[in-house]
Amino acid sequence: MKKSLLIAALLLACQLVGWSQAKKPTIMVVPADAFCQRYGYIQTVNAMGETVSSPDYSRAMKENADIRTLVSAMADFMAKNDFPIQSLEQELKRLQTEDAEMAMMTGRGGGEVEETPLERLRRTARPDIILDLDYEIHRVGPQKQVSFNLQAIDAYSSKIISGNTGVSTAANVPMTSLLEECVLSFKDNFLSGLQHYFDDLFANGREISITFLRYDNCPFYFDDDIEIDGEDYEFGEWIEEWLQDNTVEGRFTTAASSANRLRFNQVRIPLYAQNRRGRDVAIDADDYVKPLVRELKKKLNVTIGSSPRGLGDVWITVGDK
Amino acid sequence: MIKKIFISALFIFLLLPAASGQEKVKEVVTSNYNRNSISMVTVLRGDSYDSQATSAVRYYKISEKFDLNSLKTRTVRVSKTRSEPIYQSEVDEVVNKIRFAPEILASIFNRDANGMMNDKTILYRGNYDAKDQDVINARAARVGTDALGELGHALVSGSYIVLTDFSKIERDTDQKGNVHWSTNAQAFAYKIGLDMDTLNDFYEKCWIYDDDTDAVKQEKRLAFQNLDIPMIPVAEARTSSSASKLEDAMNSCIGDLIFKLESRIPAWEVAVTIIGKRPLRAKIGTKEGLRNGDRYRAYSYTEDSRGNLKSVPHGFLRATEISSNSGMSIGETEPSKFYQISGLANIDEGWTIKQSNDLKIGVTAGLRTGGTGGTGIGIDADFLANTSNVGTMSYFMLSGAFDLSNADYMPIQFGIGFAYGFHLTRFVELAPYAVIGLEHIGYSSTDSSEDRFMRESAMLLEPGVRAAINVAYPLQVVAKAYYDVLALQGSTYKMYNYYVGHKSGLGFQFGVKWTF
Amino acid sequence: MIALTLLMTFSAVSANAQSKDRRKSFKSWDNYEITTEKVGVDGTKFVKVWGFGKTVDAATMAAKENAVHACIFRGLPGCATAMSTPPICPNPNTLETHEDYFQTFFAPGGPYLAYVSMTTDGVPSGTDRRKVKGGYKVGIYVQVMYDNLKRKLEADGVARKLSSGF
Repeated sequence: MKKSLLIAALLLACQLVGWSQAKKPTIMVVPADAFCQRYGYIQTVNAMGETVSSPDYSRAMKENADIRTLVSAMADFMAKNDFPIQSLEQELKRLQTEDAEMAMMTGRGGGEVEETPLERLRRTARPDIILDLDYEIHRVGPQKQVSFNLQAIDAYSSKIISGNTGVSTAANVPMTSLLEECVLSFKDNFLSGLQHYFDDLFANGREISITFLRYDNCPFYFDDDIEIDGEDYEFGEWIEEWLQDNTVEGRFTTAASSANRLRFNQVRIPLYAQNRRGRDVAIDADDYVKPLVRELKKKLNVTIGSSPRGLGDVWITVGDK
Repeated sequence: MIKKIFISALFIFLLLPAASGQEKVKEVVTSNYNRNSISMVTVLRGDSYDSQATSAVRYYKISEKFDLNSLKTRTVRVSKTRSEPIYQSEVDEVVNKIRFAPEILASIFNRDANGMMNDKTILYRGNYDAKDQDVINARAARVGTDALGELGHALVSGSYIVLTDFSKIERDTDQKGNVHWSTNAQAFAYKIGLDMDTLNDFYEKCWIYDDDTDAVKQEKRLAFQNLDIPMIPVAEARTSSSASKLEDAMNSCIGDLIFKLESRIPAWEVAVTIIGKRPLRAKIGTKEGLRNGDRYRAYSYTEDSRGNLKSVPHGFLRATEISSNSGMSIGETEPSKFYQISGLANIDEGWTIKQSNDLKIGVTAGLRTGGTGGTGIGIDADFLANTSNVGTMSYFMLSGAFDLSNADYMPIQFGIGFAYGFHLTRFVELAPYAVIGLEHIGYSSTDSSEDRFMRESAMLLEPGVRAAINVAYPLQVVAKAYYDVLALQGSTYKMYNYYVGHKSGLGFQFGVKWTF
Repeated sequence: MIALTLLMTFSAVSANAQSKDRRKSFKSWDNYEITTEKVGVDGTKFVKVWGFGKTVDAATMAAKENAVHACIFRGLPGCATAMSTPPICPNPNTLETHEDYFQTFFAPGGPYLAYVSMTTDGVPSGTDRRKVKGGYKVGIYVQVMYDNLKRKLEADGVARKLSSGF
């Protein structure tokens, strides 16, 4: 009896140690598209001959004092809950530098990354959880009233974790008062939504996306039949089988499947896995695909690279790194 | 047939109080009171008294409990001779023709010639109306005390106009050439027909922002001109007065009219809660126009098992020490003090008290015996001049008595006096008093000399003690013990008194008192 | 000696009965009204809450307990200008699992009092003070130190921290 109790206690301790190792998702407040559109914070990009408009976060953050008030109010309470918010402004600066480098970048083997301008655009400022913030200031005679809409979105599954809408008091008071009132109004409901999400995460595993991209150097297209372990497989088919074996209860969805690109989302991966030395460690998307990459390299004899896009998204490039 | 009428009349008679009683049950008296704003408007009749009426109304000093809206229209014209009174329907017609509601809004929002408005008055009034609880609540809220002034928006719906009309103005001159003016007066109170929805609609359609285009501005100006907000009649009051000057008579009428309207418009009656006992205290004062001796009624609340709320009326109380609270609340308003004058239950902390105006005039009628002599009736009227925290009350008295046992000689007493009451409990008042006056024996004399009246009279001094016990407030049982002193008897008086036999002596009076 | 033993037995029985009563009322502790007044200053909830008691003071204390109870187990309803607030312990079993903890927490004069402060001016008054069958029902304005309360429950292991597990 005593022995079994001891074992149970030890197991619990191990679990706690394990949990404390899980990586914290990064959170970032991003002005909503509707907000940027309304205030004209829009940039146009020429993508494959088409003009695509997208939010200009950089300008929104620079020119709009109200959104900075909101972000800092939110950063304040998130920090108090041990989740410091990533600064969008700083992230944008970092990405600008990276973009400049990316423009020059070519693959190690000389091949170029086959990434459409839209895909490149989607890489901009992408944390694990996006707090999509929209607000509008209404005038009611001499009074002002703020209506807000805050959605917490899991950046990779694009699922809404928590939605909060409401209005502030109508009053002729400084805007900061009304904006901060809004933040305090949705704060606890929002945190509860996050808690719910995290609970699900620990119970059902992390939801990630995996994207396979084909480089020019790759000898086959993803819909080609190739020989693996002496059997003919479509590349995509083989990957799906691997995922069936290695996800929590075999859960994942094939979102896109083409000659150059494969995308799997709602891939439920366990939070912990054993490392090569047999120890339990918390894993993210990049860690999760490492065994897959090793196996593919061995079996296909092609150069394969993996690059994480946050905790929950990973791109696997076939043909080059 | 007569029997039938009698039965149905009886039925209606019995049913009416029952029906009104039921209505009363539903009515819950609350302590919600917010400042109202009024504008005084004079009704003109197109005669020579118009200017006096206008100036009497314009310069009448309205109680501090009201905010004043200064309107463009200060007079209205009713074409009817001043000898006749005017009727509600006639005033309604005039009021509906003039756009009073937009004028009120223009005044409250300081609308200028370009149609631009601001909320300075609103915020000021909101801050001024804020009670301690509002201030404390504001401190607990994120938007904080900055938003206290926003309470002012809700006050817009408490805007009233009071139209005052004077009729039957008469001038009399007595034999000595003294002039006397008398006038009847009527007041018609109207309330702006506006709620928060209408107000928001007004903001949306008529509020011009700096960045509006010229076309939008013009559209909003037009919308303001086309505003259709009614004025709703809420109460009417009548009175009359006379004085040696017409303006004095008019002033006295206006005061009386406002006093009467106060008791007819529930929203004008100040209500507040008791915050402490010994002495009873409540956070109202000069800001609410509270004066010493003002009467309030206490209410507590009960809730039945179905959750129905009922206000239970209790005793009355009078204001004693008035706090000067005419300023913005910072959450620590000094309370005024009160003294409970009736009711079986002790008024407790947290109970609501609501203004219940009275004239502070008590009338006592009773049978008297002794004194100068004989048995007769005595009638006193007293005016409550002051009330203190410990329940002492000062009264000015008018006293009169008639000796019925010598009715043939018509001996009457009258005098003025002063009483100072002590309350042993709130139910029992003991008031030493003193009256100085005359006793007159006015037998049918043919004497027509100037000093006839004095020769038929004797000076009367009446020190005494009056005890009043509450039966069912405002009804009291009164007993008086006094000593009548007759002095300086006139020659004719002496002669008549030979037959009447009045002399100084101890007397008693028993009767009842009603306070109006 | 016998008398003393009897007395002790009797007091033990009555204490036990009281504790049972309290336990019973603890479980059916749900019958009260609470409304959010406005968005409170940072870290607080500004609510109006009702309580019942034999006297006004007892009802006021009950109302304070109710305010803290609502923040922990029931959550607060929203109003026109404030969103609703979820309970700190959304798990319906929390009360049962930590019954002893909450018995102490909500004991008369217990730790819960540190997280609630009445903002009613003076005593509950006007329509917020109602005589009902068996006592009084009062409504008071209170500020609940929601964030502090949450941190306390997290520290005591009753509520889970947002960052626990990471």
